[in-house]
Amino acid sequence: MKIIQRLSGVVFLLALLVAWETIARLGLVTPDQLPAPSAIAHAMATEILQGDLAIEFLRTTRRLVIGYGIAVILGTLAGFALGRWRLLYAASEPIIEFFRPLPVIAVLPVAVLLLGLGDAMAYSVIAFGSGWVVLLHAMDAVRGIDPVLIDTGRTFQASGFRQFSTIILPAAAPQTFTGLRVALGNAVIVTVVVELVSGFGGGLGGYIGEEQGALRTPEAYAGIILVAVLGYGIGRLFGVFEGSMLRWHRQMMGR
Amino acid sequence: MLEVSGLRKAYSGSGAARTILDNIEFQVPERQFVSIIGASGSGKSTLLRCIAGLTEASGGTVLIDKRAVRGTPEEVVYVFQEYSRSLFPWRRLIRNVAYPIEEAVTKDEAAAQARAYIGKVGLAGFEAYYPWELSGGMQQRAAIARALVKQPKYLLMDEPFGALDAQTRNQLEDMLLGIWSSTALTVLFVTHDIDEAIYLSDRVLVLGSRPGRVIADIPIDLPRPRDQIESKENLRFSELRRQLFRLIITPAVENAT
Repeated sequence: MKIIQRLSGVVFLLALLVAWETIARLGLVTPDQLPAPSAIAHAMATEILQGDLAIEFLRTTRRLVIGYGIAVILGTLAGFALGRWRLLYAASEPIIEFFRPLPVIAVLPVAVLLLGLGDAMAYSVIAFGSGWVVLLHAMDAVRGIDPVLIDTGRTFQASGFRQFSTIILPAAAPQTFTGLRVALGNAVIVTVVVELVSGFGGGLGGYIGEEQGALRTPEAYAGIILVAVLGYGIGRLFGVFEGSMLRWHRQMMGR
Repeated sequence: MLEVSGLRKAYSGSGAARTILDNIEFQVPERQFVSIIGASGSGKSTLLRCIAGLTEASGGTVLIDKRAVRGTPEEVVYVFQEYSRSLFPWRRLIRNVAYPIEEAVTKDEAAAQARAYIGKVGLAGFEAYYPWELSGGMQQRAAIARALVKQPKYLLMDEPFGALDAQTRNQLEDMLLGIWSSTALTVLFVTHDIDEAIYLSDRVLVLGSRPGRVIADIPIDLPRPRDQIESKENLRFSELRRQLFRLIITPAVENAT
Protein backbone atom coordinates (compact mmCIF):
# COMPACT_ATOMS: atom_id res chain seq x y z
CA MET A 1 0.00 0.00 0.00
CA LYS A 2 1.00 3.56 -0.65
CA ILE A 3 1.14 4.45 3.04
CA ILE A 4 3.54 1.63 3.76
CA GLN A 5 5.72 2.78 0.87
CA ARG A 6 5.87 6.33 2.15
CA LEU A 7 6.47 5.31 5.75
CA SER A 8 9.19 2.88 4.79
CA GLY A 9 11.53 5.75 3.91
CA VAL A 10 11.03 7.41 7.28
CA VAL A 11 11.31 4.13 9.15
CA PHE A 12 14.52 3.21 7.37
CA LEU A 13 16.00 6.60 8.12
CA LEU A 14 15.12 6.32 11.78
CA ALA A 15 16.61 2.85 11.92
CA LEU A 16 19.85 4.18 10.46
CA LEU A 17 19.95 6.98 12.99
CA VAL A 18 19.40 4.57 15.84
CA ALA A 19 22.14 2.30 14.54
CA TRP A 20 24.46 5.26 14.15
CA GLU A 21 23.76 6.50 17.68
CA THR A 22 24.37 3.03 19.06
CA ILE A 23 27.65 2.62 17.22
CA ALA A 24 28.83 5.97 18.51
CA ARG A 25 27.83 5.33 22.09
CA LEU A 26 29.43 1.93 22.11
CA GLY A 27 32.68 3.64 21.28
CA LEU A 28 33.17 1.77 18.04
CA VAL A 29 34.12 5.06 16.47
CA THR A 30 35.76 8.03 18.11
CA PRO A 31 33.85 11.30 18.40
CA ASP A 32 36.41 12.90 16.14
CA GLN A 33 35.66 10.45 13.35
CA LEU A 34 31.94 10.10 13.60
CA PRO A 35 30.04 11.94 16.29
CA ALA A 36 26.75 10.58 17.50
CA PRO A 37 23.61 12.05 15.95
CA SER A 38 22.66 13.37 19.35
CA ALA A 39 25.92 15.26 19.57
CA ILE A 40 25.44 16.71 16.12
CA ALA A 41 21.90 17.73 16.90
CA HIS A 42 23.09 19.42 20.06
CA ALA A 43 25.85 21.24 18.21
CA MET A 44 23.43 22.35 15.51
CA ALA A 45 20.94 23.68 18.02
CA THR A 46 23.63 25.58 19.90
CA GLU A 47 25.17 27.03 16.79
CA ILE A 48 21.85 28.14 15.37
CA LEU A 49 20.48 29.61 18.55
CA GLN A 50 23.65 31.09 20.01
CA GLY A 51 25.95 31.22 17.01
CA ASP A 52 25.94 32.37 13.43
CA LEU A 53 24.97 29.13 11.70
CA ALA A 54 21.60 30.47 10.63
CA ILE A 55 23.25 33.52 9.10
CA GLU A 56 25.73 31.34 7.23
CA PHE A 57 22.86 29.23 5.95
CA LEU A 58 21.15 32.31 4.56
CA ARG A 59 24.39 33.58 3.13
CA THR A 60 24.94 30.38 1.20
CA THR A 61 21.33 30.42 0.07
CA ARG A 62 21.70 33.94 -1.26
CA ARG A 63 24.85 33.07 -3.19
CA LEU A 64 23.24 29.95 -4.55
CA VAL A 65 20.11 31.71 -5.71
CA ILE A 66 21.91 34.58 -7.39
CA GLY A 67 24.63 32.46 -8.98
CA TYR A 68 22.09 29.93 -10.19
CA GLY A 69 19.80 32.69 -11.38
CA ILE A 70 22.58 34.07 -13.56
CA ALA A 71 23.25 30.58 -14.91
CA VAL A 72 19.58 30.13 -15.75
CA ILE A 73 19.17 33.44 -17.55
CA LEU A 74 22.40 33.33 -19.51
CA GLY A 75 22.21 29.60 -20.12
CA THR A 76 18.69 29.56 -21.52
CA LEU A 77 19.17 32.68 -23.64
CA ALA A 78 22.43 31.40 -25.08
CA GLY A 79 21.06 27.88 -25.44
CA PHE A 80 17.98 29.05 -27.34
CA ALA A 81 20.09 31.23 -29.59
CA LEU A 82 22.51 28.43 -30.37
CA GLY A 83 19.67 26.03 -30.99
CA ARG A 84 17.92 28.41 -33.32
CA TRP A 85 20.88 29.61 -35.39
CA ARG A 86 23.17 26.93 -36.73
CA LEU A 87 25.90 29.36 -37.64
CA LEU A 88 26.06 30.67 -34.11
CA TYR A 89 26.47 27.17 -32.79
CA ALA A 90 29.16 26.29 -35.31
CA ALA A 91 31.08 29.39 -34.29
CA SER A 92 30.75 28.75 -30.55
CA GLU A 93 31.20 25.01 -30.48
CA PRO A 94 34.95 24.91 -29.89
CA ILE A 95 34.64 27.38 -27.02
CA ILE A 96 31.82 25.46 -25.41
CA GLU A 97 33.59 22.14 -25.72
CA PHE A 98 36.66 23.68 -24.15
CA PHE A 99 35.06 25.31 -21.15
CA ARG A 100 32.27 22.89 -20.43
CA PRO A 101 34.31 20.00 -18.97
CA LEU A 102 36.47 22.24 -16.81
CA PRO A 103 36.12 21.37 -13.14
CA VAL A 104 35.16 24.33 -11.02
CA ILE A 105 38.14 23.83 -8.75
CA ALA A 106 40.43 24.45 -11.69
CA VAL A 107 38.60 27.64 -12.56
CA LEU A 108 38.54 29.00 -9.03
CA PRO A 109 42.11 30.42 -8.86
CA VAL A 110 41.58 32.25 -12.14
CA ALA A 111 38.30 33.64 -10.91
CA VAL A 112 39.95 34.85 -7.72
CA LEU A 113 42.70 36.53 -9.71
CA LEU A 114 40.19 38.26 -11.94
CA LEU A 115 37.51 39.13 -9.45
CA GLY A 116 39.12 38.93 -6.08
CA LEU A 117 37.64 37.29 -3.03
CA GLY A 118 34.07 38.36 -2.81
CA ASP A 119 30.51 37.75 -3.78
CA ALA A 120 31.11 38.76 -7.38
CA MET A 121 33.60 35.95 -7.70
CA ALA A 122 31.26 33.53 -5.99
CA TYR A 123 28.35 34.37 -8.31
CA SER A 124 30.55 34.03 -11.37
CA VAL A 125 31.99 30.69 -10.40
CA ILE A 126 28.59 29.29 -9.46
CA ALA A 127 27.14 30.51 -12.74
CA PHE A 128 30.08 29.05 -14.65
CA GLY A 129 29.80 25.75 -12.85
CA SER A 130 26.09 25.27 -13.46
CA GLY A 131 25.39 27.28 -16.61
CA TRP A 132 26.75 24.90 -19.21
CA VAL A 133 24.24 22.19 -18.42
CA VAL A 134 21.43 24.72 -18.83
CA LEU A 135 22.84 25.90 -22.14
CA LEU A 136 23.26 22.44 -23.59
CA HIS A 137 19.78 21.28 -22.61
CA ALA A 138 18.13 24.46 -23.86
CA MET A 139 20.01 24.20 -27.12
CA ASP A 140 19.09 20.57 -27.65
CA ALA A 141 15.52 21.34 -26.76
CA VAL A 142 15.22 23.99 -29.45
CA ARG A 143 17.08 21.89 -32.00
CA GLY A 144 14.79 18.98 -31.39
CA ILE A 145 11.52 20.81 -31.91
CA ASP A 146 9.30 19.02 -34.39
CA PRO A 147 9.43 20.87 -37.72
CA VAL A 148 5.72 20.22 -38.16
CA LEU A 149 5.10 22.52 -35.19
CA ILE A 150 7.18 25.24 -36.78
CA ASP A 151 5.43 24.78 -40.13
CA THR A 152 2.11 25.01 -38.34
CA GLY A 153 3.14 28.39 -37.02
CA ARG A 154 4.21 29.41 -40.50
CA THR A 155 0.98 28.44 -42.20
CA PHE A 156 -0.78 30.69 -39.68
CA GLN A 157 1.62 33.56 -40.40
CA ALA A 158 3.21 33.55 -36.96
CA SER A 159 5.82 36.28 -36.75
CA GLY A 160 9.28 35.53 -35.34
CA PHE A 161 8.30 36.67 -31.86
CA ARG A 162 4.96 34.87 -31.90
CA GLN A 163 6.67 31.71 -33.05
CA PHE A 164 9.08 32.00 -30.17
CA SER A 165 6.57 32.71 -27.44
CA THR A 166 3.78 30.39 -28.58
CA ILE A 167 5.66 27.50 -30.12
CA ILE A 168 9.38 27.37 -29.42
CA LEU A 169 9.21 28.22 -25.74
CA PRO A 170 6.55 25.68 -24.72
CA ALA A 171 7.95 23.01 -27.03
CA ALA A 172 11.45 23.41 -25.61
CA ALA A 173 10.29 23.74 -22.01
CA PRO A 174 10.36 20.10 -20.84
CA GLN A 175 13.92 19.43 -21.90
CA THR A 176 15.10 22.83 -20.78
CA PHE A 177 13.64 22.23 -17.35
CA THR A 178 15.59 19.00 -17.11
CA GLY A 179 18.71 21.04 -17.65
CA LEU A 180 17.60 23.54 -15.01
CA ARG A 181 17.02 20.76 -12.52
CA VAL A 182 20.44 19.16 -13.04
CA ALA A 183 22.08 22.56 -12.94
CA LEU A 184 20.49 23.31 -9.58
CA GLY A 185 22.12 20.27 -8.07
CA ASN A 186 25.44 21.34 -9.52
CA ALA A 187 24.98 24.86 -8.24
CA VAL A 188 24.53 23.71 -4.65
CA ILE A 189 27.75 21.75 -4.84
CA VAL A 190 29.69 24.53 -6.49
CA THR A 191 28.47 27.11 -3.98
CA VAL A 192 29.68 25.10 -1.03
CA VAL A 193 32.96 24.23 -2.75
CA VAL A 194 33.68 27.85 -3.54
CA GLU A 195 33.03 28.83 0.04
CA LEU A 196 35.07 25.97 1.43
CA VAL A 197 38.09 26.30 -0.82
CA SER A 198 38.39 30.04 -1.01
CA GLY A 199 37.57 30.34 2.66
CA PHE A 200 36.89 34.03 2.41
CA GLY A 201 33.41 34.80 3.43
CA GLY A 202 31.69 32.22 5.51
CA GLY A 203 28.55 30.67 4.26
CA LEU A 204 28.04 27.00 5.05
CA GLY A 205 31.15 26.04 3.11
CA GLY A 206 33.28 28.47 5.04
CA TYR A 207 31.70 27.34 8.29
CA ILE A 208 32.40 23.69 7.58
CA GLY A 209 35.99 24.45 6.71
CA GLU A 210 36.49 26.47 9.88
CA GLU A 211 34.93 23.91 12.18
CA GLN A 212 36.88 21.08 10.58
CA GLY A 213 40.09 23.03 10.96
CA ALA A 214 39.37 23.60 14.62
CA LEU A 215 38.54 19.90 15.04
CA ARG A 216 35.03 20.70 16.17
CA THR A 217 33.63 17.70 14.38
CA PRO A 218 30.00 17.77 15.55
CA GLU A 219 29.74 21.38 14.42
CA ALA A 220 31.28 20.53 11.05
CA TYR A 221 28.78 17.72 10.59
CA ALA A 222 26.00 20.10 11.51
CA GLY A 223 27.13 22.33 8.67
CA ILE A 224 27.22 19.42 6.25
CA ILE A 225 23.72 18.36 7.20
CA LEU A 226 22.46 21.88 6.65
CA VAL A 227 23.95 21.80 3.17
CA ALA A 228 21.92 18.68 2.52
CA VAL A 229 18.83 20.38 3.93
CA LEU A 230 19.40 23.37 1.66
CA GLY A 231 19.85 21.17 -1.38
CA TYR A 232 16.78 19.13 -0.56
CA GLY A 233 14.60 22.12 0.25
CA ILE A 234 15.48 24.09 -2.83
CA GLY A 235 15.12 20.97 -4.94
CA ARG A 236 11.59 20.47 -3.67
CA LEU A 237 10.70 24.10 -4.35
CA PHE A 238 12.01 23.73 -7.85
CA GLY A 239 9.99 20.57 -8.29
CA VAL A 240 6.80 22.38 -7.37
CA PHE A 241 7.60 25.18 -9.79
CA GLU A 242 8.47 22.77 -12.59
CA GLY A 243 5.32 20.82 -11.92
CA SER A 244 3.12 23.84 -12.31
CA MET A 245 4.88 24.94 -15.50
CA LEU A 246 4.84 21.51 -17.10
CA ARG A 247 1.53 20.15 -15.95
CA TRP A 248 0.54 19.38 -19.53
CA HIS A 249 3.70 17.44 -20.08
CA ARG A 250 3.36 15.39 -16.93
CA GLN A 251 -0.17 14.44 -17.81
CA MET A 252 0.85 13.57 -21.32
CA MET A 253 3.62 11.31 -20.04
CA GLY A 254 1.13 9.68 -17.73
CA ARG A 255 2.56 10.92 -14.47
CA MET B 1 -8.56 32.03 -58.64
CA LEU B 2 -5.36 30.07 -58.07
CA GLU B 3 -2.91 30.01 -60.94
CA VAL B 4 0.19 27.84 -60.95
CA SER B 5 2.53 28.47 -63.81
CA GLY B 6 5.85 26.93 -64.72
CA LEU B 7 6.39 25.73 -61.17
CA ARG B 8 9.68 23.96 -60.63
CA LYS B 9 11.35 22.44 -57.63
CA ALA B 10 14.82 20.97 -57.73
CA TYR B 11 17.20 19.89 -55.03
CA SER B 12 20.92 20.04 -55.58
CA GLY B 13 22.27 17.77 -52.92
CA SER B 14 25.28 15.43 -52.88
CA GLY B 15 26.22 15.36 -56.52
CA ALA B 16 23.31 14.81 -58.86
CA ALA B 17 20.56 17.40 -58.94
CA ARG B 18 17.06 16.04 -58.47
CA THR B 19 14.11 17.69 -60.11
CA ILE B 20 11.03 16.94 -58.08
CA LEU B 21 8.60 19.14 -59.99
CA ASP B 22 8.98 20.30 -63.53
CA ASN B 23 6.85 22.93 -65.25
CA ILE B 24 3.64 22.46 -63.28
CA GLU B 25 0.82 24.40 -64.87
CA PHE B 26 -2.83 24.56 -63.84
CA GLN B 27 -5.59 26.91 -62.68
CA VAL B 28 -8.17 26.39 -60.01
CA PRO B 29 -11.31 28.53 -60.08
CA GLU B 30 -12.82 29.52 -56.76
CA ARG B 31 -14.90 27.03 -54.81
CA GLN B 32 -13.62 24.08 -56.78
CA PHE B 33 -12.61 20.88 -55.04
CA VAL B 34 -9.49 19.56 -56.74
CA SER B 35 -7.64 16.39 -55.84
CA ILE B 36 -4.06 15.78 -56.77
CA ILE B 37 -3.01 12.18 -57.15
CA GLY B 38 0.12 10.49 -58.34
CA ALA B 39 2.44 7.64 -57.64
CA SER B 40 4.55 7.78 -54.49
CA GLY B 41 7.38 10.20 -54.85
CA SER B 42 5.70 12.18 -57.59
CA GLY B 43 6.11 15.36 -55.62
CA LYS B 44 2.47 15.85 -54.61
CA SER B 45 3.37 17.07 -51.14
CA THR B 46 6.15 19.25 -52.48
CA LEU B 47 3.72 20.85 -54.91
CA LEU B 48 1.25 21.58 -52.14
CA ARG B 49 3.95 23.00 -49.88
CA CYS B 50 5.18 25.28 -52.67
CA ILE B 51 1.68 26.64 -53.18
CA ALA B 52 1.29 27.14 -49.44
CA GLY B 53 4.61 28.92 -49.26
CA LEU B 54 6.11 26.41 -46.85
CA THR B 55 8.69 25.28 -49.39
CA GLU B 56 10.35 27.70 -51.74
CA ALA B 57 9.98 26.79 -55.39
CA SER B 58 13.03 26.82 -57.64
CA GLY B 59 11.13 28.54 -60.41
CA GLY B 60 7.71 29.49 -61.74
CA THR B 61 4.92 31.42 -60.11
CA VAL B 62 1.87 30.90 -57.97
CA LEU B 63 -0.78 33.59 -58.29
CA ILE B 64 -3.71 33.96 -55.94
CA ASP B 65 -6.27 36.42 -57.28
CA LYS B 66 -3.60 37.73 -59.62
CA ARG B 67 -1.15 38.44 -56.80
CA ALA B 68 2.08 36.50 -56.55
CA VAL B 69 2.41 34.31 -53.50
CA ARG B 70 5.24 35.33 -51.20
CA GLY B 71 5.82 33.46 -47.98
CA THR B 72 2.71 31.97 -46.42
CA PRO B 73 -0.30 33.96 -47.63
CA GLU B 74 -3.20 34.79 -45.34
CA GLU B 75 -5.83 33.23 -47.55
CA VAL B 76 -4.15 29.85 -47.63
CA VAL B 77 -4.04 27.28 -44.84
CA TYR B 78 -2.14 24.03 -45.04
CA VAL B 79 -3.44 20.97 -43.21
CA PHE B 80 -0.76 18.46 -42.35
CA GLN B 81 -0.77 14.74 -42.83
CA GLU B 82 0.80 14.34 -39.40
CA TYR B 83 -2.13 15.75 -37.47
CA SER B 84 -0.97 14.51 -34.09
CA ARG B 85 2.30 16.37 -34.48
CA SER B 86 0.78 19.60 -35.70
CA LEU B 87 -1.54 20.20 -32.76
CA PHE B 88 0.11 21.89 -29.79
CA PRO B 89 0.27 19.39 -26.89
CA TRP B 90 0.53 22.19 -24.33
CA ARG B 91 -2.83 23.67 -25.29
CA ARG B 92 -6.27 22.28 -24.81
CA LEU B 93 -8.45 21.76 -27.86
CA ILE B 94 -10.22 25.10 -27.71
CA ARG B 95 -6.97 27.03 -27.45
CA ASN B 96 -5.47 24.99 -30.26
CA VAL B 97 -8.39 25.80 -32.53
CA ALA B 98 -8.31 29.46 -31.49
CA TYR B 99 -4.61 29.81 -32.31
CA PRO B 100 -4.93 31.30 -35.82
CA ILE B 101 -7.23 34.12 -34.72
CA GLU B 102 -6.27 34.82 -31.12
CA GLU B 103 -4.04 37.72 -32.07
CA ALA B 104 -6.66 39.35 -34.24
CA VAL B 105 -9.69 39.29 -31.96
CA THR B 106 -10.50 39.45 -28.26
CA LYS B 107 -10.07 36.41 -26.06
CA ASP B 108 -13.80 35.85 -25.74
CA GLU B 109 -14.40 36.26 -29.44
CA ALA B 110 -11.61 33.80 -30.25
CA ALA B 111 -13.05 31.25 -27.84
CA ALA B 112 -16.54 31.69 -29.27
CA GLN B 113 -15.39 31.20 -32.85
CA ALA B 114 -13.24 28.24 -31.86
CA ARG B 115 -16.24 26.70 -30.17
CA ALA B 116 -18.32 27.18 -33.29
CA TYR B 117 -15.85 25.37 -35.52
CA ILE B 118 -15.25 22.67 -32.95
CA GLY B 119 -18.97 22.05 -33.22
CA LYS B 120 -18.84 22.06 -37.02
CA VAL B 121 -16.32 19.23 -37.09
CA GLY B 122 -18.28 17.21 -34.60
CA LEU B 123 -16.08 17.70 -31.54
CA ALA B 124 -18.54 19.60 -29.36
CA GLY B 125 -17.93 18.80 -25.72
CA PHE B 126 -14.23 18.14 -26.13
CA GLU B 127 -13.07 21.74 -25.82
CA ALA B 128 -11.15 21.11 -22.61
CA TYR B 129 -9.32 18.04 -23.83
CA TYR B 130 -5.65 17.96 -24.63
CA PRO B 131 -4.78 16.74 -28.15
CA TRP B 132 -3.17 13.57 -26.85
CA GLU B 133 -6.39 12.68 -25.13
CA LEU B 134 -8.16 12.51 -28.48
CA SER B 135 -8.24 9.70 -31.02
CA GLY B 136 -6.54 10.03 -34.40
CA GLY B 137 -9.73 10.90 -36.21
CA MET B 138 -10.62 13.49 -33.60
CA GLN B 139 -7.18 15.03 -33.83
CA GLN B 140 -7.54 15.47 -37.55
CA ARG B 141 -10.98 17.01 -37.06
CA ALA B 142 -9.36 19.38 -34.59
CA ALA B 143 -6.66 20.29 -37.09
CA ILE B 144 -9.33 20.98 -39.71
CA ALA B 145 -11.35 23.09 -37.28
CA ARG B 146 -8.23 25.09 -36.54
CA ALA B 147 -7.61 25.59 -40.26
CA LEU B 148 -11.19 26.70 -40.83
CA VAL B 149 -11.42 29.14 -37.95
CA LYS B 150 -9.27 31.47 -39.96
CA GLN B 151 -11.88 31.35 -42.74
CA PRO B 152 -9.30 30.88 -45.46
CA LYS B 153 -10.11 30.96 -49.14
CA TYR B 154 -7.87 28.04 -49.96
CA LEU B 155 -7.52 24.87 -47.96
CA LEU B 156 -4.51 22.78 -48.87
CA MET B 157 -4.67 19.28 -47.46
CA ASP B 158 -1.80 16.83 -47.63
CA GLU B 159 -3.14 13.27 -47.39
CA PRO B 160 -5.09 14.29 -44.30
CA PHE B 161 -6.96 11.01 -43.93
CA GLY B 162 -4.16 8.68 -45.00
CA ALA B 163 -3.31 7.47 -41.51
CA LEU B 164 -6.88 6.77 -40.45
CA ASP B 165 -8.97 3.64 -40.61
CA ALA B 166 -11.44 3.27 -43.46
CA GLN B 167 -14.56 4.04 -41.43
CA THR B 168 -13.12 7.18 -39.90
CA ARG B 169 -11.86 8.19 -43.29
CA ASN B 170 -15.35 7.94 -44.79
CA GLN B 171 -16.81 9.97 -41.94
CA LEU B 172 -14.24 12.70 -42.33
CA GLU B 173 -14.64 12.75 -46.12
CA ASP B 174 -18.34 13.43 -45.71
CA MET B 175 -17.68 15.99 -42.99
CA LEU B 176 -15.26 17.79 -45.27
CA LEU B 177 -17.69 17.78 -48.17
CA GLY B 178 -20.39 19.15 -45.90
CA ILE B 179 -18.21 22.01 -44.77
CA TRP B 180 -16.94 22.71 -48.27
CA SER B 181 -20.39 22.86 -49.79
CA SER B 182 -21.60 25.36 -47.18
CA THR B 183 -18.65 27.75 -47.43
CA ALA B 184 -16.69 29.58 -50.13
CA LEU B 185 -13.69 27.31 -49.75
CA THR B 186 -11.44 26.18 -52.55
CA VAL B 187 -9.81 22.87 -51.69
CA LEU B 188 -6.63 21.30 -52.99
CA PHE B 189 -6.53 17.76 -51.70
CA VAL B 190 -3.51 15.53 -52.10
CA THR B 191 -4.16 11.82 -51.74
CA HIS B 192 -2.81 8.50 -52.84
CA ASP B 193 -6.28 7.01 -52.63
CA ILE B 194 -7.89 7.13 -56.09
CA ASP B 195 -11.35 6.32 -54.78
CA GLU B 196 -11.13 9.13 -52.30
CA ALA B 197 -10.00 11.54 -54.99
CA ILE B 198 -12.95 10.66 -57.22
CA TYR B 199 -15.45 10.69 -54.38
CA LEU B 200 -14.53 14.14 -53.13
CA SER B 201 -13.60 16.15 -56.17
CA ASP B 202 -14.86 18.21 -59.05
CA ARG B 203 -11.61 17.52 -60.79
CA VAL B 204 -8.54 15.33 -60.41
CA LEU B 205 -5.03 16.32 -61.41
CA VAL B 206 -2.67 13.44 -62.02
CA LEU B 207 1.01 13.96 -61.35
CA GLY B 208 3.52 11.85 -63.15
CA SER B 209 6.75 11.10 -61.40
CA ARG B 210 10.42 11.73 -61.91
CA PRO B 211 10.06 14.56 -62.49
CA GLY B 212 6.56 15.51 -61.39
CA ARG B 213 4.39 16.94 -64.16
CA VAL B 214 0.68 17.24 -64.64
CA ILE B 215 -0.04 14.35 -66.98
CA ALA B 216 -3.82 14.47 -66.80
CA ASP B 217 -6.60 16.79 -65.72
CA ILE B 218 -9.80 14.80 -65.34
CA PRO B 219 -13.18 16.39 -64.60
CA ILE B 220 -15.32 14.32 -62.25
CA ASP B 221 -18.83 14.44 -63.63
CA LEU B 222 -20.55 12.66 -60.79
CA PRO B 223 -23.68 14.22 -59.30
CA ARG B 224 -23.56 16.05 -55.99
CA PRO B 225 -24.17 15.63 -53.16
CA ARG B 226 -21.96 12.59 -53.09
CA ASP B 227 -22.85 9.53 -51.11
CA GLN B 228 -20.53 6.78 -49.92
CA ILE B 229 -22.79 4.10 -51.35
CA GLU B 230 -24.70 5.72 -54.18
CA SER B 231 -21.80 7.52 -55.77
CA LYS B 232 -19.59 4.49 -55.66
CA GLU B 233 -22.22 2.30 -57.26
CA ASN B 234 -22.47 4.73 -60.13
CA LEU B 235 -21.05 3.23 -63.34
CA ARG B 236 -19.27 6.45 -64.08
CA PHE B 237 -17.34 6.05 -60.82
CA SER B 238 -15.90 2.76 -62.08
CA GLU B 239 -14.99 4.25 -65.43
CA LEU B 240 -13.17 7.14 -63.82
CA ARG B 241 -11.50 4.75 -61.47
CA ARG B 242 -10.19 2.63 -64.31
CA GLN B 243 -8.99 5.69 -66.16
CA LEU B 244 -7.12 7.08 -63.20
CA PHE B 245 -5.65 3.76 -62.16
CA ARG B 246 -4.21 3.32 -65.65
CA LEU B 247 -2.65 6.75 -65.48
CA ILE B 248 -0.95 6.05 -62.20
CA ILE B 249 0.18 2.50 -62.75
CA THR B 250 1.51 3.05 -66.25
CA PRO B 251 4.82 4.83 -65.99
CA ALA B 252 4.31 8.27 -67.46
CA VAL B 253 7.61 8.40 -69.29
CA GLU B 254 5.97 9.29 -72.57
CA ASN B 255 5.62 12.92 -71.48
CA ALA B 256 7.07 15.12 -74.14
CA THR B 257 9.76 17.44 -72.86
